[in-house]
Amino acid sequence: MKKIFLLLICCWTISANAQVQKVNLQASGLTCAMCSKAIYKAVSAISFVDTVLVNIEASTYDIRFDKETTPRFDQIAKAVVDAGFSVANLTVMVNFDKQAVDKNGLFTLDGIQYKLMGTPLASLQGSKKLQLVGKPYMLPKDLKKIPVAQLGNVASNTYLVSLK
Amino acid sequence: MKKTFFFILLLVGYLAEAQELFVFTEPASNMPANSVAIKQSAKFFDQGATSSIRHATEIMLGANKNLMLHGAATFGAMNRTPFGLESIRAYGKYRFFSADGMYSHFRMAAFAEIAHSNTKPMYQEINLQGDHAGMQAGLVFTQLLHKLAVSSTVSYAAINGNSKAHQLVMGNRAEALNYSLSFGHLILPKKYTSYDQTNFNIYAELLGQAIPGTRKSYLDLAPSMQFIFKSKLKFNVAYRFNLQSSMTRMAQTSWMLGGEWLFLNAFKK
Repeated sequence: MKKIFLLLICCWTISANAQVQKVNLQASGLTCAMCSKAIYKAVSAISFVDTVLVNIEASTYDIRFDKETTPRFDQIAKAVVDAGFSVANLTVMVNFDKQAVDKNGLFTLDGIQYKLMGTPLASLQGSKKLQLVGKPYMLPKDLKKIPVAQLGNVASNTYLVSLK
Repeated sequence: MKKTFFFILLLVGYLAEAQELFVFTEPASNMPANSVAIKQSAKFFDQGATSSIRHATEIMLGANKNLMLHGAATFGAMNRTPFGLESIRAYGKYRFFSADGMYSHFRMAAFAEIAHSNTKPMYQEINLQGDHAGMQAGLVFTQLLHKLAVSSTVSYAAINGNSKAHQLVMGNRAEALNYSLSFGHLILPKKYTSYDQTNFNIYAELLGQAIPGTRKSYLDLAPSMQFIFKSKLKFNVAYRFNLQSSMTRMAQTSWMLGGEWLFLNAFKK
């Protein structure tokens, strides 16, 4: 009985984490460790952030979240900008379980709305990488490469994402 | 002069990785929002047979992502006065342009400062870091290009030379144009693996002043070394010497030792 109970707890924990698993952030505009530490401290101080693993040389940050919290990617980008730098790339690792996507590419995950850029898909399944598109989530030169038509008509509460 | 120019060209050529945490000038970048730094430095002025020491304490605050504020005070026993408070200074810098790329950025900032000094003006050289009461405003341009950082400052300073306490020596002017060109180079570590690694940087800064309407000017070169411990404690050693001068100054050469402690996320939101 005890074993079953433990198993149930494990299953529940896994299913609760089976959505947004982590975020990989790459920051731009810096080359020094002191600057990198400023970003690390700012991101670590966000209430829903649990752990941050840094690669100083590559300027990348693997961010994991507290259980049962909903990560806000705009707050992660704001922390980087407030530290004095920019976001070059923000990619969300998600484990999908038959996630339905509507004909406009819209879907909701943990109460947050996303819009999938490009060819509409009926559903998403398994482990996927979603890159956030638009200011302030990418370098201006990368943003310029995306046709304006693909960037338009996204509600302010919706994250525009592309499948990597 | 020719040698200096060659040295600078050489330096530009070898700047593989650079920092912009300059010792004598501020870059266009600001401190992170919500952070505080405390800087303590001592300048040793070589005045031939004697030397004078000026101590400076400065508190710096990252008010938000674009605005940085400093409050500073200098202490000393310059010009045979008893040791005590010499001057106070308030400084603000606003970053109004920022274009970030991967391992690169170009930034522009405007700054203004106001200073009060208890010391009696004696020299033609104008500075707001102890010697004079007055104000200064200017622009800073900083380019980081694939780990090469170059920064330039242009500013106008006007000092109070009319009141009894600050009466200028006859014939001395109360205005100056200041300019600088700074280069930095990260020597160690070769590869970043942790925030606990000690960083070792070298800098070379050209610091100049011209008095408008006169032929009075100076140009200094200030090479310096900087150690950064645990990505939060800086220690600077600098030597500043004269390349060209046609004005009276406190000293033609000086040494500076300084430390700076950075506190990130100093205020809880």
